[in-house]
Amino acid sequence: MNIRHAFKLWVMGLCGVATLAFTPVFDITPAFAHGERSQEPFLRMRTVNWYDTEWVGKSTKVNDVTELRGKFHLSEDWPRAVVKPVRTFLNIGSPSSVFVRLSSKINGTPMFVAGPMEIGRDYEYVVQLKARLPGHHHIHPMFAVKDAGPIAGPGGWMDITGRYEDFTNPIKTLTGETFDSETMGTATGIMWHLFWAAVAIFWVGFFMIRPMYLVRARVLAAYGDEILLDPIDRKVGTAVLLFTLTVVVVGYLAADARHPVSVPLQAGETKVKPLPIKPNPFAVEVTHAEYDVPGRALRMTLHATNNGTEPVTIGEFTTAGIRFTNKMGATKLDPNYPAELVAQAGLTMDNEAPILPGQTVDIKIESKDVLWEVQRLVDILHDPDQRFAGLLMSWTDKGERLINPIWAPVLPVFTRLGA
Amino acid sequence: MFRTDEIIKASKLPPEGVAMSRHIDYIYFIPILFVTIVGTFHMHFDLLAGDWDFWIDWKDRQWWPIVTPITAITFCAALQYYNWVNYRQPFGATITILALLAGKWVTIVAAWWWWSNYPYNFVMPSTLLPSAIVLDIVLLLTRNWTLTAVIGAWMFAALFYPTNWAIFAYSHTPLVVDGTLLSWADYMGFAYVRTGTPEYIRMIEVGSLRTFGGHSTMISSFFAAFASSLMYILWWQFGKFFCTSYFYLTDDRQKTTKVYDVFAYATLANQDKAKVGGKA
Amino acid sequence: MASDRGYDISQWYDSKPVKLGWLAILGIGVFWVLYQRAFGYSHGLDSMTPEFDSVWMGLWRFNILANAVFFAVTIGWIWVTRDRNLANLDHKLELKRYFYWMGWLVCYIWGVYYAGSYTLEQDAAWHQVIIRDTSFTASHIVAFYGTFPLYITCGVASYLYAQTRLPLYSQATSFPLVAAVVGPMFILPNVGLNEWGHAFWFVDELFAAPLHWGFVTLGWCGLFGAAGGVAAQIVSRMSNLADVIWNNAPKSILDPFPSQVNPNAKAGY
Repeated sequence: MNIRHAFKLWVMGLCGVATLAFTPVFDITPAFAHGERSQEPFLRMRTVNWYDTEWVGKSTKVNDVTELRGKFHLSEDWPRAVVKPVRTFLNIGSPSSVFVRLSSKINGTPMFVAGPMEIGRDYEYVVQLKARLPGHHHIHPMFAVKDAGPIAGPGGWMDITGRYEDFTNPIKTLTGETFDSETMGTATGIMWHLFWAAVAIFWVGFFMIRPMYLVRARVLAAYGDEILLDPIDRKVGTAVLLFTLTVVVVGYLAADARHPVSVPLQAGETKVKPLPIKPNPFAVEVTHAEYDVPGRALRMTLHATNNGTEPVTIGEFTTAGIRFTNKMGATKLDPNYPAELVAQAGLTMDNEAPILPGQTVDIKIESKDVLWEVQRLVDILHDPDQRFAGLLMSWTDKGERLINPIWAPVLPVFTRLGA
Repeated sequence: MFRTDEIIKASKLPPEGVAMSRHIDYIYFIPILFVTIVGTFHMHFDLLAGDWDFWIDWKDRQWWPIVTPITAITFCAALQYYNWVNYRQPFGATITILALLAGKWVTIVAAWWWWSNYPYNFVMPSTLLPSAIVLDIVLLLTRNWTLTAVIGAWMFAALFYPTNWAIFAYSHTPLVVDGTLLSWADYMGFAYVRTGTPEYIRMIEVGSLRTFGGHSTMISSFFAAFASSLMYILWWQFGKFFCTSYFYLTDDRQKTTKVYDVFAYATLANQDKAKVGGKA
Repeated sequence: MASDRGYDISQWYDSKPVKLGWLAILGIGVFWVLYQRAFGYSHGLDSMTPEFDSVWMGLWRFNILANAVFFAVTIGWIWVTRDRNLANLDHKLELKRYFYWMGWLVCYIWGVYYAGSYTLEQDAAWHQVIIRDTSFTASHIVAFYGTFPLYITCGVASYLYAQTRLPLYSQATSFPLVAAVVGPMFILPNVGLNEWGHAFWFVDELFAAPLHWGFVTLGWCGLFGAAGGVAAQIVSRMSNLADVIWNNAPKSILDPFPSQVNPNAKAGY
């Protein structure tokens, strides 16, 4: 086999390999979701317990204002691996800025900068969004903790229709001017960049039109730089120097005169008071929890006491934005909640009867659904800290909702034999 | 107008040799030198000062005027060393910053705007071109790198804030949203959602204990000038190190010797000079 | 062919290979960018989906395989066609080879531009779109696994071209050339540090984070090439060749090493 033949084979091989590698590309269907499932289960289950999330206005037109709102509880079982929420920021997980954020309030306090929050407490947020980029977008509330990173909440779809070209976002400043966030300052910035690039290209070009390297290297090495330092370079250099300094000073003064009122970037910290602690007559503790791998089910034993005056019925277990409900819980579901995050008949109990006032019971409860795998929550079994946390929702006969944060270590069950 | 003929005469290259030299310029200056600076310096700059340059709401009074010139003067000094010491070309700093901005603007249009859909004003970069031009001209006029380290590097850093104020002054205009005072830049950072960049990542002035009159910018620029001066000295020496041009020769006994290539014209021209007894 | 100028530049200059090579690499770059624009939002937001696996991991597999093949073909070709009679190399041909070599460097550096400038900052932009959910994002698949191996191959090819076709580099190892090729080459293994760090240490997208400074220092090594020793070596060698070709300088100036190792040695060619 000669070289030419070998080379031909290589080229043919390259084409073959490229074809093989790309074969799947031609079999494409639109994808969904937004990467939140890869976040470690302990991060999604044991930090922020999201609930009552609402994607208001699932379809909006460019320039329309809509809302993302909901509540979250910061889990008592906050993992050791995650930095405590000393500096936190409520963010939006969206594929780029498909909305601009007009306002973001936590418990009524605007959150422009990050601030501390308390473990074990609840917060309510409302984020106002103005539609900017048309499309079918997956939007999450996101809780970012400094040194722990963003923690994605449940994702829901929001559609934006219309044309991006129509988008405007004019805002009135304290100086009485109106700035549009989409364009303000762009032309000035580009103008200055072009201007300085022109001066710089002139300066370099002034030397480029003459022999640049080899010729000069020879002369410098042999005779020193006397010949090379052309007097015209010094003259032009001095002129460019003076011109540059003048333009910088004039540009600075002009900008200062044009925008005489300025404030520094605003830093600091948002201080948010948590929601008041609601008295909860229903006390729940997890005494045992196991994850059944083949059965795709989290089973737990609850030790529950009803200290209230009305019977209490358990209806939902929610963690990482995924909701497992029984029949009763299903009736309380917001119909707009993304169906792909709900296991409507996923919650079963060995005793469905309401827990009567004064009664203490041990209930075996099972949340079972393929969602454990689809949402990759089963990966807690690969974690160095195998625990879960979530919220247990119950209702009194009068319809009042009681929320109990629960958490416990999880024991794996790998085969059906022991079951 | 130029001394080109005299220089070519001194180089003792026939027209064909001069043409060869010009072909080196063509293939070397933009495709090799300039693009190398784009590739390496843009990376250096992004990974040391990038965040301040990406976002309008990072352009503060305390860190932006310090981090940007100190990070940028490095390659400027090294490129000045290479171009000045070997060829007496006074444009090392200017091409460095031009290369950075070339790389930046391609990315701003193709990545920030086209792919990630952020408006230009939100990701508008700062410019150091006037600073670089001044640095180069100071080297040309003083012909002395130590003086350039003192005068040029100080001006390099000191000019940064006034130059960029012309571009960004508007972004410090105050406004009130939800009863909260913000600068326009803060508002932009809030309005345009950044999935990977929560607010707390910002490294900006959060208030000083003692600026005595609130001259944060002046104090930062003054420090930046001092630090740029030191950085210039360090990176001029780095430039020298990058110009290391020896070889290692390994003989049959596996013994390695350091050897040098030779720029013969230096010697040849001197012999010639001695022969004819005159100047070139 | 001699022109009106009275000399024939084709004896020492040929820009066709560099133009073709650069256009080919430009074509690949344009392909990558268009691919990202076409499939970034539709299939690139969730690494857990089968669509991501076919579209994006498909591109990843293509990048890895195509780069492996490109490396093997290129390096194999340069090695197999090496000059076995360098001692008798014609001086104008050597000049021409220096231009060819600079052509290799142009391709290498264009790859470094993709990696160090364009795809690097584009990564910052894409991190604002996705929730970081994999080491193989739509941005990383092009940056780390496409452009990095591409410029590494061109860098190694530049090195090997010099070693097999240019007398100075065939005799001895140039320190700056090694640094200019190996430094940026190590940016690829440094991705290991990057991914480890983002898994356990720096979880937010701070570009100036110390975790990224390995890339910075390795990138500096590029200056050994274009703005340092390699460029200086090219200029001095081409100057020496010019003296021998056009100024009747002694040929001994083209063989500087033996006398430095052994002062009594005679010029090798």
